Formats: sequence, structure tokens, C-alpha cells
Amino acid sequence: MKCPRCSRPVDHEAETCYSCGYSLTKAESIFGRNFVQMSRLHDAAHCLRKPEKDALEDIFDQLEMRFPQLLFCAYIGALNEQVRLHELGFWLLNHAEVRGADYARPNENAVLLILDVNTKNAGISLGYFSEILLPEDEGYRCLQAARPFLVNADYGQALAVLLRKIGRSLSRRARQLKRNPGEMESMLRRRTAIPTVDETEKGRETDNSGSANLVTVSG
Amino acid sequence: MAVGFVILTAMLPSVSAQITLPEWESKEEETDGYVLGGGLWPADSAPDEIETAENVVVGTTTEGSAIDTAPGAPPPIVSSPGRAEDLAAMTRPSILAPEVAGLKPVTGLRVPTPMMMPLRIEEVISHDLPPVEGVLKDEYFALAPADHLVDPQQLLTEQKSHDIERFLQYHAEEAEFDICLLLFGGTQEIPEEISLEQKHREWFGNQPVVTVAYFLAHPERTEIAYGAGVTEALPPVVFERIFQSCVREAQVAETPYDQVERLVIELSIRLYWMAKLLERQSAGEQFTATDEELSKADWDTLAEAGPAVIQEPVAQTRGWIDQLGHFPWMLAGLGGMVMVGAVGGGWWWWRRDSLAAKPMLFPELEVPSRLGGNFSGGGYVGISFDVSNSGDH
Repeated sequence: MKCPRCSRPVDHEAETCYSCGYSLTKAESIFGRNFVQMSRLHDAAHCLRKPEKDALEDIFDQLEMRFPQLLFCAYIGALNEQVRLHELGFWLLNHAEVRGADYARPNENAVLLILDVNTKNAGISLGYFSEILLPEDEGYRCLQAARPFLVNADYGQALAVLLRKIGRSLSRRARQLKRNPGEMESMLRRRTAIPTVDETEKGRETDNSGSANLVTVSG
Repeated sequence: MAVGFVILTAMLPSVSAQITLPEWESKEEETDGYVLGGGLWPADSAPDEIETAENVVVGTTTEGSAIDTAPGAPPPIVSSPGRAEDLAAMTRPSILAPEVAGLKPVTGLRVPTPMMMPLRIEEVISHDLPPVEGVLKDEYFALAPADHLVDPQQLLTEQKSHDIERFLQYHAEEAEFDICLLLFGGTQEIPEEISLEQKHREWFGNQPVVTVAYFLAHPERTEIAYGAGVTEALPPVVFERIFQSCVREAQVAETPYDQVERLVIELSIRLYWMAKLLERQSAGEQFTATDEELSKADWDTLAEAGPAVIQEPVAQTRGWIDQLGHFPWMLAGLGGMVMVGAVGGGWWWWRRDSLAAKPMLFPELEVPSRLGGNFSGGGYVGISFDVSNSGDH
């Protein structure tokens, strides 16, 4: 995983970013400490028409029936350039309550689509549980499928395509986990771990000696 | 008016007194059995026994089917034509009364079947048929056959006979060599003074016709006459192969009637390739003919030229395909099944990832938190769709 601010890799148990010291506290200083409520399809930018909203609500219903554990929601806003979608998604998932969501779908199981029509950025913020189910490359593919509609400012269709793609990707993941139930835990263990200082120093030493490569870190 | 009515009323008793009613049989229990009308028939009106028996033998209904009304016989049941029971009835002993049995039978008359005791096919096949001599021999060999199927004894059921006749007609229209099929019983023999080859020459001369003598339930006794022109042009091993293939194909069938049909179909296919072989030979291609076998080079040549008649596995495959070609509905059915399977498979493939499919549950997992977030640690993937400044995160 990456830091929402500096995009440097973050250890899965780190309290703050090793590089910039970012944490939820910093996000709260920007967006506030209060808890907010948002609807499942929160169109703060008012760019969706009624038929598009109805169609998206139908897709949300289908997704929730298909995946009873997961929470799907979308935030569409017109933000200024100082607001990073990554940070906003991080804060929303920890401070927002989706109206109508039942207790079986906590925010850690959430898949939050964020769309900024002003800076023309789109992203998928994931809770702890859902980020295991939807790897980064799969999410990227889903976003790429919706990109043509986003470029044409057809946001309703873009979100529909994006949600359907996410649904199919989650279906495939569910089939994989059904065939191999232990894969989920192994995935969790394989997640990127930031090397400790000692390991880094050790790596440098070995690099200086020219006998071994540096320990590589990837997001 | 009133006077006329009175006169008419007065005359009525005198008119009714002049009508003589028939005398009814008073002792029904004295009759030997049912007569026509079940005992209520006037005694003077009922025909006598001999007359009734004659009607049994030679009498037919307007539709042409006979009615068995012999005294003491079961009620007449007219069976539908073309059933195996009809054939059984033709060969079973007469059940008529002794005085009726002495009457001269009418040849070719279809005797109705008592449905209570139908004979099985095995009984029909094993029943002793008369030897092929006299009138029967003339019916087979006196004149050149007018039809493709010669079955004067009506050994086949009407339906099967019709099917085979129709197939032979179709074959004659499509293929170069016609087939003339003489059908005999399994226990019958061709008279010694008759030679099938000689008869073939008499009847057809140099015409492209193949005469087949087939013995019901004994395909191995089949005799095939090709004519001198064909037998001299091709090596004997070709005809031997044709014979073996036909017999082998016939023996696959379970019933003797199906054996006839399969043999004819196989012979039709083989004759087609034999005609091709003759065409190649007339075009100048030479085959080395020996009494036993063709040389290996010739076999290879024939094999390369296509599904020749003498290469067994390939010929069998072609035969199967050709038979399929005779049943376009079967091909259409197979194609339909493949199409339905493809559509069903595609639908299943699409449906399994569809959002409308059944709910799916993931295994629960405890994930450690990071960056101080209770629900999310900043998992994110994003893109920019600004065309002027495109970039991904």
C-alpha cells in the first residue's frame, strides 16, 4: 500500500508513513474530525441526471445482492486542486457513514468510487477487507474500462461501467477463493512489507560489498 | 272432410291385417353358434354355412380386405396393412372349418389376422416355405423383373417392402448401376437349373444392372451377378470385397428385415465406388489383377485416390457419412444441438460473472490497521482522465 500523500510504500502495520509522517490525524486536520453521512450515490457535483441515478442505484442493488458482505458507494464532487482524492477517500472511509448501509457491511468492506469532475481524477478507495479482494492491477483495469466515458464527461455511464467491471472482478476473485480458501491468508502474508532500518542498512552494506542486490520495495 | 276421416279410420285395421311378419326362431339354444345377427336374424334370411364359407374365402369387402366370418371363428378383426402380423398370418396354417379348407384357395389373398394369437417373427422365418418351383419359379425367373424388388411371396412387410423399393428406385435414379433384388426365404434354394449369371445376361445383357439373390435371415448366402462386362473389367478381389462388406453390414442388423435394408444400402454405396473405379480404368488407369490380391502398389494407388471401394476402414467411414447424407434431418439435428450447446455455454459463461447471479461470500479475515485508520489504511487506485494532462496514480 502507498501513503495517501507522498505515495511511498507503507508497511501494513505502520502507524504513520515512514517518509512523510502522514496518518489519519493529518487527514483529520484537513477534512475535520467530525463524522459525516453520505448517501450510497453521493452526487455533490450534481452532474448526474435522474435516469442515470436510477440506473446506478439498480446496479448498486445488484452488487449488494451479489456480494452481501461488501459496501459499494460513490462520491462525485467538484473539488479544488489542493484536495487529493487519495486522501479524501482515506478520510471518507474512516469518517463517513453510508446512509442505509446495514451492520453487515462495515466501512472496512467498502468499495468507494471517487470522482472529481473539476480536476478530472477518478479513483477507487478500498477498506482493509476489500483491498485484499480487489488488487491494484484489477482496479486499474476497471478504471481504464470507464475512461472513455469519463473523457466524454458521461459520468453516469462511466460509473455504471466501472461498477460492473468491479463486480466481475470480484466474482472472479470469489471463484478463486472458493477453489483455494487458503489463498486469502497467503495473500495477506505476501503483502509488501517495508524493510526495517536494520534490513536497509544490511542491504546497503551488502551492496557496498558488491555481493548482493538491494532489497527492493514495491507498492 | 269429416266423412273422409271416418272412412280412412275404418280402413286401417283391414290394411294392417294383410301384412305377414316373418317367423322368428323360437329355439335359439338349438343353433350351433352365432349366425349373422346374433340370433335375431330371421331364419329365412340367414345364408347357409357353405355360402358363408365361400364368402369367407373369396369374399372381400369393398375396401379389398377379407373378412373371416367362418362359423365358430372369432369375430373378424381387420388389421392395418403393413404389419408383421399380416406376414405371420400368411404363413400360419389355415383355421377354417374342414369343409371350408377343401375349397380352392385364392393366390395372393391377404387373410386377416386373428389378433389374439399373433405369430412372432422367428416363427415366420423358420416356417417352411414351399420350394421355388412351378408357378413360384416362374414368378421369379420367367420374365425380366419389372420392379427393382422381386418378392412374389411377400416375405417382407408392406412397410419394409415399400421402403426398400423406394430406396432402390432412388438408387437407380442417382447411381450408374441399378440393383435388382430377388428375395427368397431363408430355407429356399434357387433351382439348380437356374443360373443367376445366365438370368442376368438374359434379362439385362450389358445394361449396368446388378442382380442380387438374397435369402431372408441368411445374408451370407447372398449371390450377386454383375454381368460379364463388369466382371472382366475389374479383378475378382473387388467383387469379393463388395460381397464381404455387404454381408458384414447386413449381419449388424437384428431383424431379418433390417438386414435386407442394410445390405441394399451398403451395396448401393459400394456400387457407386465400383462405378468410379470403372471410370478410372476406362480413362486408362491400369490395375494389376491377380486371383488372390492386388499388389501393394495398387492398393496404395487406390487409397490415395480417395475412399476407394477396396480400402475397408476408409470405405466404412465414407459409408457412414454417406448414410448421414441420406438423412438431412439428422444433420440438421446435430447442427442444432451444437448450436444450442454453444449458446448455452456462452450464456453460462456470461452468467457466472453477471451481477444477477447468486450471492457470493468471501471468507472472513482479520486485517491489521495502519496509518491510524479504523476502516481503511489508504488503499487506493486512481487515474486522471484529463486529456490535456493525462497521468495515472
